[in-house]
Amino acid sequence: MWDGRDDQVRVRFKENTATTYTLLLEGSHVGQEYGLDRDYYVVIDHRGIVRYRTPDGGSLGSRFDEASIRTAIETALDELALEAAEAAEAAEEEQGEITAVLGEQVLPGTFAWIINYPNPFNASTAIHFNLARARSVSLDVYDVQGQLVRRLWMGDLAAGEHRMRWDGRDDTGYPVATGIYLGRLEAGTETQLQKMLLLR
Amino acid sequence: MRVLNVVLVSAFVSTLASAQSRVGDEAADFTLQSLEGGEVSLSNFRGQVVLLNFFGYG
Repeated sequence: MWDGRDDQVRVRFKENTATTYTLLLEGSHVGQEYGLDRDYYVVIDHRGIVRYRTPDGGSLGSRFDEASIRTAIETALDELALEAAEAAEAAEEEQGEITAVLGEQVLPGTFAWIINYPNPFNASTAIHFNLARARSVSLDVYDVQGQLVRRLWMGDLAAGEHRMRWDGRDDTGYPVATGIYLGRLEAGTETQLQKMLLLR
Repeated sequence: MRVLNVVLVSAFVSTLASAQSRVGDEAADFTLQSLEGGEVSLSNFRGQVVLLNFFGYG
């Protein structure tokens, strides 16, 4: 019933439906952009690809195809779990390689990554690196699409070992999603990348 | 850990526009106000599996 003030309607909706999901308002223009009407469903995988979309047609109240939606969701979740496992394995191998290099005392150049630990990580990870001499450096976190997620440091640093913590949030303070992120350390013309796996 | 995000989108569309965002397409990003206040974008859920439900309430 749309009687009463707008905010009362919204509160009543939540009380009546016991909704715990994210609920977004006034999305008609989004529906139009997606070519969808009311009572439509879309499953989107972790790469942002549409995996299921309610077919056109059908009457209001009859479009919920539970079996198809469930299959799309299960398939997407399986793929996400598989990719996370492969990324974790790759990160573990890379960590082993870096440890081996350090063990041989091979630290050429202006700086060298030491490690980020833990990796994979959930809440936060500590990024360690070494500077052979004092430099002006920047340390940023990028997603796999190459978008800057977080600037952790920009400025001068003394020679020696440094540690900076990333809390898994972007520059606006919003927690970022599960996935692979790249720590990018730049000093002059030298750049080093470190792959980091965030698991929520 | 398997997590599905469910997002309900309030929509009152009376006529269908030309169909977009087909299966296999990249989902178009959008930003809307949430019931609790504040803005939420589809891209906030990147890296996770999302079920969108467009619904009407009245």
